[in-house]
Amino acid sequence: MKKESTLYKVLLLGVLCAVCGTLLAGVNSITAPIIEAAAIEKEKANLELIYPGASFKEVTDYEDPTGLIQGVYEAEGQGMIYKIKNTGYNSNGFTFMIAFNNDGTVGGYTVLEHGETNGFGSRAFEEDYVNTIKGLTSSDPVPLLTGATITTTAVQQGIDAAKAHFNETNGISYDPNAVAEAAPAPAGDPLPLNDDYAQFKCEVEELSNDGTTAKYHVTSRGFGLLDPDGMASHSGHEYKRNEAEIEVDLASMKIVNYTLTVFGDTEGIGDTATTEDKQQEFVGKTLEDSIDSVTGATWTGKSLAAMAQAALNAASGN
Amino acid sequence: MSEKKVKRSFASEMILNNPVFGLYLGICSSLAITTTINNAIGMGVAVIVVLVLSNIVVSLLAPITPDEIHIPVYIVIIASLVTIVGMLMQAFTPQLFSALGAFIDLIVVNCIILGRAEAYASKNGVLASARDGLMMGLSYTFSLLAMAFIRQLLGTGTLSLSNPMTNAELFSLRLIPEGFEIEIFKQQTGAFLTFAVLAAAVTAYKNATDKKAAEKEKAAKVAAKEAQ
Repeated sequence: MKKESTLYKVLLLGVLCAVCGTLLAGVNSITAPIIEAAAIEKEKANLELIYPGASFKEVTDYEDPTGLIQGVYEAEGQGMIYKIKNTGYNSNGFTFMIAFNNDGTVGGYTVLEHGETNGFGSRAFEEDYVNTIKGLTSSDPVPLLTGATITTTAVQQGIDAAKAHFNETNGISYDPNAVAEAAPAPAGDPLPLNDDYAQFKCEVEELSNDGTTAKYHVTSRGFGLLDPDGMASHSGHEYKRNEAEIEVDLASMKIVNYTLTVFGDTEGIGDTATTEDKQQEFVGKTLEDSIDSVTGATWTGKSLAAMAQAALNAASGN
Repeated sequence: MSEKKVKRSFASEMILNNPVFGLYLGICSSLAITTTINNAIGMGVAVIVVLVLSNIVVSLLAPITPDEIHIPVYIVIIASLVTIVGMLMQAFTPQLFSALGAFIDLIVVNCIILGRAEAYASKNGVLASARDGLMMGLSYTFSLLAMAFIRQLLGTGTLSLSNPMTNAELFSLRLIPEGFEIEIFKQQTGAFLTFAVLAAAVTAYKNATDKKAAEKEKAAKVAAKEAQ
């Protein structure tokens, strides 16, 4: 055959490709098992956190329209582990693992790495919330955490992606649109009502006084106006004073009613300290008592305590 | 080839005809991966292997390859070799593989390899082509090492080397105290700075040798004239 003929060129390229293809297939058949074993090995320390001593197999043919699932591993005879990466508050994202036992209950929930804000988003990986998640099954909706909404929403999306795959493979039917109630924010350090709250610059106005109870309108600077860490002034949010109407029993010097009328701090963060329940907590309190602060909303909580103190002081004639 | 000539040719290939600093070939990968000496050696060895083998195969196939399809033939050969090297690295040196990332696959389009196949291996014998591949690969590795040495030293203050198979550290030496590292050398800007300085140095050296050679020639001419 002539070197210049088209057929020769086609044949040469064809043969070359066939030879190269065979070579590649040969090398691949040697390296592929090593690469796969190394991938499991790398993950093994993490997988063992959930199912110690199990033998693991990587599942590679999964479908994940969300793109959040980084890896699916089967712990033989025990359950499935999903490695998930999503982005919450910190733009670098965080990685965690959620496992479902073969009976559908959550087998484990562990964060591998995260850079979420301490005291806020980080609570999504702390004991209380971890236990909440561990108490779920693959058909339960994932609850959010007040004060860590952005982080736990990202966790929820990730777990939902894992649930979708797990329930699909195991033929479990569930309602993917079910919504869980938010888990309550945890209590922080107590705030004594007789503490020094001078910086809140409370202003008190007596609304009524019938000799047995007195009602006061109190205003106080909150987190936004105090700006303790300089964050608030950069947020672009317009902050106001917090305002409340407080009724005091003059004989026992106890608060009988506490109603927040104006909330001037950050929506979604400060308001965890101003829920109905938190307002009710002031009822029956004297200057000697304290209330529980709410982690992540300490300054708003202090502002409310400062107003209670101002009303009680006004009632006792100070 | 006399002893002296081999020596000069080695030096000239390493410095004067250095593909990176002399001919500005294969710069992309050398800017990207020269953050550590380990990466530089890993990348250098990968390129040497691919370059030697591709030069050998190309020179073997040269007599039966028609001109019209020589580029596709080279590409198939080089791409296969790079893929094989990549798979072997992923299996046996996984840390190095993930450190070098896409730049392993990008060896396919490294101008040095296609350039040597086209300019040298297709016209020369197998042994000469293998030697050419080795020399070119070595001088590419030499430039990677030069850049990585400067960048790792200034960027992290430490010189270190580890076994790519087990990732165990072989040695680590801190030469610049902590806090005095120059972060910028770890980043792309540092890569460009290092590259520019080294390329300038090579060019200055080249100009000096050219000038010396020209003067010598001139002197020889004058001497010849006077002799006449």
